[in-house]
Amino acid sequence: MYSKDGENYFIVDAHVALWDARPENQLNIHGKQFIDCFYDYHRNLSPESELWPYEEYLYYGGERLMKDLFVDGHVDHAIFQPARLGAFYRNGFGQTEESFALTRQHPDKLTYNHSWDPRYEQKGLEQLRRDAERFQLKGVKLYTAEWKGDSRGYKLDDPWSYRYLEACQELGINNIHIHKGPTIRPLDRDAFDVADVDRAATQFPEMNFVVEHCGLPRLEDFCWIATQEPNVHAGLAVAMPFIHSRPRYFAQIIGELLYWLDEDRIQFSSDYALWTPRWLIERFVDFQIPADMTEYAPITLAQKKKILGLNAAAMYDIEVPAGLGVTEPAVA
Amino acid sequence: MPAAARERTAREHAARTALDAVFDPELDEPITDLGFVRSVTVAADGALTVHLRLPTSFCSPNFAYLMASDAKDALTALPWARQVVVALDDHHDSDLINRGLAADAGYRGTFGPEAEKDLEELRSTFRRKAHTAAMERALTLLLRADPDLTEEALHDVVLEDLPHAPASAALIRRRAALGLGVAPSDPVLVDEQGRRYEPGEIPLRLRFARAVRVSIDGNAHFCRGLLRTRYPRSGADQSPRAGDSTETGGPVDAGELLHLTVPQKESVS
Repeated sequence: MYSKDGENYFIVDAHVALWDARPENQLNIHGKQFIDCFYDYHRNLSPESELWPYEEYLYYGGERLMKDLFVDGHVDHAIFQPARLGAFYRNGFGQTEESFALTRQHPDKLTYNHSWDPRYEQKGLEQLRRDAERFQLKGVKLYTAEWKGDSRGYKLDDPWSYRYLEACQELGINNIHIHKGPTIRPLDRDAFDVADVDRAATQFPEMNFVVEHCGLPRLEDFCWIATQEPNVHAGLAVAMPFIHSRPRYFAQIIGELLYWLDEDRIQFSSDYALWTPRWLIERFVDFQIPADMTEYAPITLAQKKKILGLNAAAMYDIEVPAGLGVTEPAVA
Repeated sequence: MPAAARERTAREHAARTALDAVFDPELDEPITDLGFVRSVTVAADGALTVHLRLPTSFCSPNFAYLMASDAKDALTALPWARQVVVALDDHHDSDLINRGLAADAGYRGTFGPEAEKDLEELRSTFRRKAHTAAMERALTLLLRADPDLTEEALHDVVLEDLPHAPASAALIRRRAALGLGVAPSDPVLVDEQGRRYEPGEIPLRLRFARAVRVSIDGNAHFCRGLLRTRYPRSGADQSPRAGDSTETGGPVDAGELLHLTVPQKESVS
C-alpha cells in the first residue's frame, strides 16, 4: 500500500519477472543481445538514482525481488508474466521454478502466470492442461515474437492459437496477456499489428485480453480495437517510465487511453526488473495532465486508484482490504 | 588537400546527401537525421562502404532490411558508384541481411521461408500512417490559428487554405507518396483513398489521426533516445525532429498545437 496526502492506494504490479540472463544461461549471441536491449531500455528511461549495475541486472534472485517489490516498492500484489525465450536461453529467460516457489511461499503477495506456444500443437495443449493444474493458473503471458525453429512468431488468431484459447477458457484461465515483439511469420507484415488480438477478443468475448505496453509502438491501433472490444485491456508495462524521461509523452499516452478505453481497463505495471516499482508509483500518484494539454481531461484520484491496483485486483480476484476501494464516483 | 582526397570527401558528402532520401518508414524520417548512418567511406579505388546502426539489436528485421536495401539502391544510383557495400551493424539479423544485401538477393532471397511475398503492404501501411499524422499536424495548425473554425468545417478545407508552413509542405509530400492529389483545390481531410469524411464523422477521425501522430512522434523520441544510449556519441549525428517537440525546449511546443475542441466521451460506467 502507498499513502500520500491522506489517500491510500492498493497497488497491484501486473507485470513482473524473475529472469536469468547470465552468460552461463545464454544459448547464443541473441541471449546477450536480448538482455542488452532490456538494459538499454532501463538505462534510457530510469532516473539516475534508480540505475542498476549491469551484473545485477543479469540476475537478481528472489530475495531482491521481494525487497524491491514489497519492502521498498509499495506493492501489495504482483503477477509474474514470464517470457520463455527458449531459443536464446538454456533454462529459459523467466525462471519458472524459482518464481513458482516464491509464489507458493507468498500466495497472498504473488500470482504466477505461465506461457504457452501454439506451435507445440497437441503436445503443448496437453502440457497446458498439466501446467494449469500444477500452477493453478488464472492467466497466461504470450510473447508472439518467440522464436521456434525456422519460425519467429505466431498470431493469436492462428488455428492452433484458437484451440489453446478454447482450452484456457475451459480451464478457467481467462486472463490472456499479449506481448507483441518485432518478428512474426511471414515477415511481410507489421509484427506489432494487433489485428489478431481484435479477432481473438471477438471470438472469446468472456475472456480478458490484456495487451502489454498498451500496444506500443502501435498505440493508435490498440486504442482503435479497444474501443470495439470491451474485453481488451491496456497493460502499462514500458509506458510507465516515460513519466520520468518524457512526462508530456506519458500524459499523451494516458490521455489517449482514458479517452479511447476507460479507466476500468488500464493496469499499472513496472515491468520489473526493467524498472523498479517504487519511483513509478510515487510519480504516478503525483502525476497530472499538463494544464496546457486541454484536449485531455485531468486525471482523477479514482482513476489513479483503479489503474494502480483496483482494476487488476478485480480481474484476478485479489482481495482489496476494506477502505482501499474507490468511494467516490470516478467521473464527475 | 590533394585532389584525390578532395574528391573522396566530396563523394562521401554526396553519398550522405543521397541517404537523406532513405526514410525509416515507421518513424517517417530520413535515416540520416535519425543518426542511423554510422559511417560513409570512399576508398582510394572508389569503393563505397556505408555502415548502418539501429537503436536495438531487436528492431524489426523487416524495417531494418527495407532501410538497408533502400540505402543500397540510393547509393548505387550515384553516377560514380562502382562497388557499393551497405552493412547493418549489431543487429540480430545482421549476418542474414548483410549476406542478402551483398548478393542483391532481394527480400525473399534474404529471408527465405520467413518471407511470403514482398514488403509492399508493409510499406503502404506506414505511408498511410505518415499521411494521417501529417494531415493532423497541418489541420491542427489551422484550427489553432483560427478559433472560429470548427472541426466539422474542416470538411471544406482544401490544400490552398493551408498556411505556408513546413507542416503543409510535409503533408503534400506524404500525399504524393500515397498517390493522392496535390492540386490547390483538393480537399485536405481525406482517407487513404482521397475520399472526404462526412462532417459528422470528422471529430472522431481527427481524434484518431491524433492518436496516430502521438504514436509516431512518441516512437521517434524513444528510438532516438535508445540510439544515444546504445551508441554514446551518436547524438551528434541526429537532427532535431522537424515540426515536433513533445517535450518542452523545442521551437514549437506540440502541446500548443493541440487546442482542439473534442467531444466529451460518454461515461461508460
